[in-house]
Amino acid sequence: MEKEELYGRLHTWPRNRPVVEGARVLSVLEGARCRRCGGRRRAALPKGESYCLDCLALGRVSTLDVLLTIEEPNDFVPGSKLRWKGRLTGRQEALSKRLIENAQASQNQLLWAVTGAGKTEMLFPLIDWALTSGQRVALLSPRVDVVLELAPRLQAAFEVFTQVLYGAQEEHYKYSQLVIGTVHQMLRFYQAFDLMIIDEVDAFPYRNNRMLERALHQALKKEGRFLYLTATPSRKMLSMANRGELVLHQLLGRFHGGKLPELTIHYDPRWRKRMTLSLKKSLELWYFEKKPFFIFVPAVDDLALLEKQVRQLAIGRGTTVHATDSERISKVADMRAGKYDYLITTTILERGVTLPNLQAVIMGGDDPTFTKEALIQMAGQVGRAKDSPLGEVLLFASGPARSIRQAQREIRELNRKAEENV
Amino acid sequence: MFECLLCSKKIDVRPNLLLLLTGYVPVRDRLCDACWQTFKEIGPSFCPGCGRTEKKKRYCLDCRKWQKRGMAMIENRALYQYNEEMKDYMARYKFIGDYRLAPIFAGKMRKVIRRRVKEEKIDLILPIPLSEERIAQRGFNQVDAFLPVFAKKVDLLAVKASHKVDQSSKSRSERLRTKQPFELKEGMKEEVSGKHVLLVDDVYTTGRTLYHAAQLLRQAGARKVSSQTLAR
Repeated sequence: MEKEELYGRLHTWPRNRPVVEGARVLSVLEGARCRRCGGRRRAALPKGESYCLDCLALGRVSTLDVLLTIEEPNDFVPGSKLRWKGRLTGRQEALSKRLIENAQASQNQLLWAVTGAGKTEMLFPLIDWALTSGQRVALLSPRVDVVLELAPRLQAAFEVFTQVLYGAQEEHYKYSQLVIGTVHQMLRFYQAFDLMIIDEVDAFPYRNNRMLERALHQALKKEGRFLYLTATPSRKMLSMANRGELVLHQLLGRFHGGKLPELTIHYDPRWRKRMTLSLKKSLELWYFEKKPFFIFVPAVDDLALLEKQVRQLAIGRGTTVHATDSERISKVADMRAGKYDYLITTTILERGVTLPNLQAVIMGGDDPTFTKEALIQMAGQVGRAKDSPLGEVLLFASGPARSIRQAQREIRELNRKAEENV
Repeated sequence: MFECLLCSKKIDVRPNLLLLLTGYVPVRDRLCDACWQTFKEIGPSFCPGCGRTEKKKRYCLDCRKWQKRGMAMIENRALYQYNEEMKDYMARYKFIGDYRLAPIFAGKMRKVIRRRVKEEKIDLILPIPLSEERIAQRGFNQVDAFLPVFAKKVDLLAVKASHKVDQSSKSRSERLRTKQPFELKEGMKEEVSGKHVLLVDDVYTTGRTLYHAAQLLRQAGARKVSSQTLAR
């Protein structure tokens, strides 16, 4: 085992094996809690030993093990690593300056930016500043899809080895200054990062998850700081900002100056049974204009129903995606490569997929799985690219619902504010 | 409330007095129906050598190779086919070390071993041992849960200190070339001589491990060696 691989990590190590030289040994239990995840659910092994059930998915941590770590030495080559040559708009640039200023002042920050505001690019100066001053940086998201979308963009923008971490990945961990990964992976770090950027903080499974929240705080250095990003902040986040625990930045309006698409609401209680003529016409028109589209459905069981309906129209190729789909990652990649004309999906693709000319249909928008935030996010997938700031979001619902009304109101509100600000 | 131990799907367990008082959940209710159905039993016709499912009851190709090598057949019997789901179960139980999975097949294994002990007049039951180091790391021997509680079990074999590499990390041909990993514990020779021994292991893959153990026992004077595994 390389010593480097333990810098700022929390590595499970059998108690009966000799410890790596220079490593700090931490016990697996902290009172009755698991040191790694803070969970209290345990299962018994023979002879009074036990293991943690809460973080079993990341490998067993039992009382037969110890946890090894070496204090993060920030052993990096100094100097700027930014390769990206793009330019930010005036507002983006002003905001990214403010992000750096607040980071220098060791403030935790919350950036509320509408979908398609160009968040990722805005982060580049901040990340570059942190890397230049020798800090270790993590860019995280609760969603694998978002991680997989961000990773190549970051790797292209920075001239530094970037370790990408997520559950299903098989690559061996290597020490790196910039880490991109899912929030869960932070369970394996210990006081490692000076700056942690968490994208889509309001997304499942991070939202209201104490274990992951604790994991992030454990992975952060004592003097480190957070930057949270979201398009739909939770009340908790906003009230933290009100109390002054977070510095709130609001970025209204998309980077190309276009508006967020409003929802076009149709009431159709029989959407599972058949497709309305107007929807058929819209889909055919999109296909004719070579525009890709997403159809969001509330449940996995609805995927097949919708697929059958769309197949009857004979408009190009498409497929279905859901959370436990084993080919989920490759299907999204294929969609991006233009191999599919449409995707029928559950809420897993509600965020972080940037496709030019994308259109969206939301079926069963009144279903309780579609919260206000989910609806805003899904609508936000549309019209992200500069060349095609316009797009349509059709919403079919059995009847009116509070979530739809609230989402529509918030989209209008954000658009109105953006207009005033310009 | 309760989740399937393999796929985490919610399971309805009907509340009863036992559950309320002790928290005991019947083994049946620890996996969801879908997961139970993925395990395929061996069925009525199988290879008499290794116990794998065969269309006709005759020695399979692998067993005929063992015969050619001049080995005495060990009459392995297995309960389940070693399919993807079984591999996943083994990975969770053995390699991740989720000890909650031990009782899932333990009842069935104990039952079949008890039956064989009676029918085939078996004198000794012998679990395939783990190395000291591995058992200290894992915390349990995965085969121990499969043994009947009151049967005569003996600790005859030990893993040689020089033998560290795990069978499951090798390719098939590497596995077949593995040298004898076991040795007989001191003073145990009389225990074995003239006895019918039943070896118990979790899975029969190439048969190498079981044949090594059987060879050692025969050299020590065992009258007959058979084996029982969970999967083949």
